[in-house]
Amino acid sequence: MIEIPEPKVIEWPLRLALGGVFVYAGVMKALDAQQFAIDIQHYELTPWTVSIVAAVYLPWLEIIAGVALLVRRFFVGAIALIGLMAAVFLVAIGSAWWRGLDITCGCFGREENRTNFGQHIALNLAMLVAAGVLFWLEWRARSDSPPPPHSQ
Amino acid sequence: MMRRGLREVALLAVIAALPASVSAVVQLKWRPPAPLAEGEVSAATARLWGEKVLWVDARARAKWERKKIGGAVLLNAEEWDASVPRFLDEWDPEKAIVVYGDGAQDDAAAGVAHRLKEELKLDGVWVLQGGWDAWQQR
Repeated sequence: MIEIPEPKVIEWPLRLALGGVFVYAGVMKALDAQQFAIDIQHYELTPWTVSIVAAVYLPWLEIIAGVALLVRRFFVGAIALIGLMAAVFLVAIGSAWWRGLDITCGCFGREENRTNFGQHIALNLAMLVAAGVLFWLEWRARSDSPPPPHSQ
Repeated sequence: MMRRGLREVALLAVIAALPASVSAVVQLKWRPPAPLAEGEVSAATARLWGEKVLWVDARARAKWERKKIGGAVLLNAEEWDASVPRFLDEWDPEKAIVVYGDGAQDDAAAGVAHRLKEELKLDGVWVLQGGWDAWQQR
């Protein structure tokens, strides 16, 4: 019979990896918002005004969601945000690949080399799956816990 | 759990907006414009020149075909010999020539501007500061 490991054994490394990647990526982008705005512009999906707002806001959303995941505060919200961001990145990178754009993705700040689209799609898919697993573990834990006592 | 999750998403989004606002002011508003190198012109100045500019796109053909500054002529190092006649057809001594590449880190535009001055003996050749990336920032 296959034994399912304790949820904590799965949750802890996933939280560390996912939160760590998002905090690192956010910090690298937040250090040079102007460059990140140019990187977003290269995707040819948004006008400059939207690119610049996203370039200023998105890195901090990544940092805050990553930290929340690491310290397990606002946990469900952090998982949802990270899953949503991974999905958005996946669509953006996939569409750039589909359109044959020759760009640097800007995923971890300034990059000199052209993006390896396959690698980045795989990374974002892995992050999406990790967020899904964390959400499922949390949902299962809450379902198993006894309901709060009702006051008479 | 869904309602709680949505509430937390909203809360985290608001928390992120605070440092993002500070970052916006520090990084974007207070950042001084980069000084122009010799032979460079800023996107703002080039816009003021309006119709008195012949734009030269020094990027790869695929990028020129996808998107370019209105009326830009393709003239890059890879297709120099084939593209020069087309460029000369468009050339007008009354117009400034502004060459642009991909971005600030790209030397292609400076190389093409140099060849226009040295090989074709043209005057009034400028390089767009920040290239195509800078042109889009408006």
